[in-house]
Amino acid sequence: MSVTNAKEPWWTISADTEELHPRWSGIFHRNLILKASRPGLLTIPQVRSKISKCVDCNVLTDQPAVLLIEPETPVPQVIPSNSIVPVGDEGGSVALANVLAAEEPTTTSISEGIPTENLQKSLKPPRTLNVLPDQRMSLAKRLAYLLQPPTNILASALGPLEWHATLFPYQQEGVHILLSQNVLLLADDMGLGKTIQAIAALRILAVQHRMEAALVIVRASLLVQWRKELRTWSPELRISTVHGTATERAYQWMAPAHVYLTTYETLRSDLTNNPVSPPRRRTWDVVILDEAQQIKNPNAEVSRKCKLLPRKRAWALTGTPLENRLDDLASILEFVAPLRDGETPIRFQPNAAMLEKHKQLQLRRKKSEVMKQLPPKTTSRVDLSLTDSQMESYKKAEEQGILQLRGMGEEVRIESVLELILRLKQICNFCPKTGQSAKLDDIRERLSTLVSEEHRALIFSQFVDKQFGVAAVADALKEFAPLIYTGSLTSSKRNDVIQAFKNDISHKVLVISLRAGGLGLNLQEASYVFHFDRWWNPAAENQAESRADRIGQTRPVHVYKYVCEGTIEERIEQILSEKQMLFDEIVDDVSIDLKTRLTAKELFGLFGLSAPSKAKPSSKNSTALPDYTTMSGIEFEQYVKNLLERKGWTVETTPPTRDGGIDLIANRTVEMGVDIKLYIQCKNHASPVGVETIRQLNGVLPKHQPGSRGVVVCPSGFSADARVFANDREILLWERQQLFDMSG
Amino acid sequence: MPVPFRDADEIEELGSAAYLKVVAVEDGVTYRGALFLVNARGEPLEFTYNSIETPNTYLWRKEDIRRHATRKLTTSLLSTCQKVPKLVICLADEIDHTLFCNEIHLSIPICRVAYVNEATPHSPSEVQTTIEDPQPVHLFWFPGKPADESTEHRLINRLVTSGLLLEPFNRAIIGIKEVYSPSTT
Repeated sequence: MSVTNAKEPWWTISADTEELHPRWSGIFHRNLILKASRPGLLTIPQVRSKISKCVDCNVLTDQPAVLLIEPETPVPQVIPSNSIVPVGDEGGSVALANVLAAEEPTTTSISEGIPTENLQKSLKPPRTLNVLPDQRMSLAKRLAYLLQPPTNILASALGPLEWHATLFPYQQEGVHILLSQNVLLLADDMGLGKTIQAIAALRILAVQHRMEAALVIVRASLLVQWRKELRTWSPELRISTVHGTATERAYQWMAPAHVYLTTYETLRSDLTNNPVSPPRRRTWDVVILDEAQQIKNPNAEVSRKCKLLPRKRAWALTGTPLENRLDDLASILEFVAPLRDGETPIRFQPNAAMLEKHKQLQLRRKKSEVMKQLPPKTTSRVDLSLTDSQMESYKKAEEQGILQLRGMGEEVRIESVLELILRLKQICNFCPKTGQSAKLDDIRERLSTLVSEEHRALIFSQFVDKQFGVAAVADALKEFAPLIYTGSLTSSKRNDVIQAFKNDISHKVLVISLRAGGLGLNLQEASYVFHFDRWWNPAAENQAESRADRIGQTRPVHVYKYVCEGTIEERIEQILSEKQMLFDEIVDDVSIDLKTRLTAKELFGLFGLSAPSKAKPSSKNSTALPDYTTMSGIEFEQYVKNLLERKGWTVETTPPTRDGGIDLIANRTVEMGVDIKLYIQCKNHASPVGVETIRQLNGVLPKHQPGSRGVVVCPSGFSADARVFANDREILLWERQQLFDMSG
Repeated sequence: MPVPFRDADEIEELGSAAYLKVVAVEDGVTYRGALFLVNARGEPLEFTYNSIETPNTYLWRKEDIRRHATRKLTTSLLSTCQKVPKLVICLADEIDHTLFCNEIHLSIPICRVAYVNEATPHSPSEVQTTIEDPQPVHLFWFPGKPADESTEHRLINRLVTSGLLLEPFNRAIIGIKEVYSPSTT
């Protein structure tokens, strides 16, 4: 920002400005004598200016000058003097938070459905402060705080901060209360966005210069998720994720950041008796404990260490503050208090006084209370880190797979890449050696909360086997009495499963094969849907979610989609987002689809490989393909059969007169024992195939056969309605390009 | 050491807007003023303030005294202000068009804001535009409306869309009250 240039002033007084004339100048003829002194100037420091203190300020003159016009009169103080004057210690902003909050309508935005009275009773938002002036704080500093943008403007969707999405009214209220209460136990029901509220409050604090550094402590499995949410909801803030080896952590603690994100385990390691151990080296402006039930045991080392953190604000987030005993709650409440450096953490006994304190400190909204504000369906992507053993297996499998691909040289096929992807996706579900699963750990944690709130859930997976799929998930979640629904069940057995889930509430979870249960079922008894692995097919995923999100559903539906950080899941997700493509069908066990959506370069690029020239599609070469229209129908079938056989498929030709529309049946067992069967109809028409042909094939496809797909092959392409029909029924359409790819 | 925000460059590029606020004290002789600079996100950058007392006399017309006091206040505020804003925003019912059209010349655009349902005297040399959302207001620009792609235009747009066209005036009042509260003085 430029500073006034003395040579070229940006303002001047007009030369012909008339001085003020007395009304009867001829009679009195009085001159105006000005006694001027310098006016006051407060320069509000900017964080970006890298000044030494973000809340300190610089005043040119302590007392503003008064410009007088004679005759001089004493300065009356008739501006109402009950203006807000902040109080608080010089070094902190504790009381200033209240001062700022006093200017803000902390509860005016409360809308229907929120238990306003309870909130106000228990939390007493400081709206009517009339605090006494505190001369310990300089005028400049008081102004620096008072002149910050008000919270209601900052939290508003139309305000100067761009929010990733509009905060619901109850969330805005939560943010206001977090900002006005330096200590809070935010105990909203799961799915109401405690994380987002906390991040929004952090962002506003930082923008208002009321926070220099915050510490957020989360479960290891949620580290990735929190980092992503922080980047999404507070893009200006710099984040240091403290996680890794001791050397890395030493650097991460020192890195300049607004938010330090770490895990309970890391905190336990890094917070020692040494008062200059990294987490104790400073007084944190905010400390947030996510899933605060982690410190429910007051005697656990991690509980004691969390409470030792020097902090001005303490926010605990949990959907289940009271799991079993009052002692649990007491331990959490012991954290929900500021702690100055050198002070001893408070201790609570589980008694009436503690319960009264709990009422004052807790903000809890239930879904039923804010349901009117919620959309019918909320979808969340959950980013997770693989467990150590999963990561080890994953890396090993990936390295081996890449070596194999490289070893194939120019003979490498796209199908080999797809098989590797399939293998890696399975490891993202479960470690093949230990059976560990980050996704399962997260689901189990969430289910514990959900079940206590009488919710029920659907879990979808594309795999059905006992090692990586539906059976493995159900086996690991026995405590929730899961039921299994897969294509291998008989029709009557499937019906029994559905009825059992509907009628017996002891079954909290239904684990479903996406292909078998993605369509047609009415499962409004569940209001939570988990996609254990990604289909990368919005239509198919939506269909699955619609089992719960349909007419008759009385509660908002929450959908969680898992993506493992640093894995093939994340890489493919990223490519697809970048391409902004809507996938009709995508990599699954019938892996041919992916190459119709991603180029060979992108597929090989997933593993840092260059696509061999053979694998690269080329529009020029595609014109060199044979003229299919000159072939007879049987010749064309034979041509397609040869292509598939070259790719490792076992192909059976159906009898010409009894094919029911199916010309070829192709079988293949990919690695990991997944059987794939394609029912193929070949059409070498000169013009695009219409919808009737697709309908015909759809009519003869075997139903409920896992791993099977219908395919219509026509080099001339397909009509628009044929594509729509095929898309809805997940029938594959192969055109000239696919044939070219297979011939490569 | 404070840490710079990640979007600092973008905000820096848009510069600052100066909100000129003049408050008449209830005694009828004192005027207080502030020039409050905020950036495109509404963050305060600079707060210049001053007070002026006028003779409580019948020698001058009240309106003349007010205009004269406003000019003196504005002059003192501008002379003290250290940063050069991209534009100055003031309320049309507080600041006459003569102040910036005739008496004080600025090298940056002046924007006087008036509610549409109020009759506002303005100079023929001012350019009038109207904003409907979030609340309908007239903007009187002198010497002219900033060009569409100019930084000034982007800045005012950002302020309008962020609900910051008028809100900083409230903060300026809070600042003035704080400065001249009995505990301070």
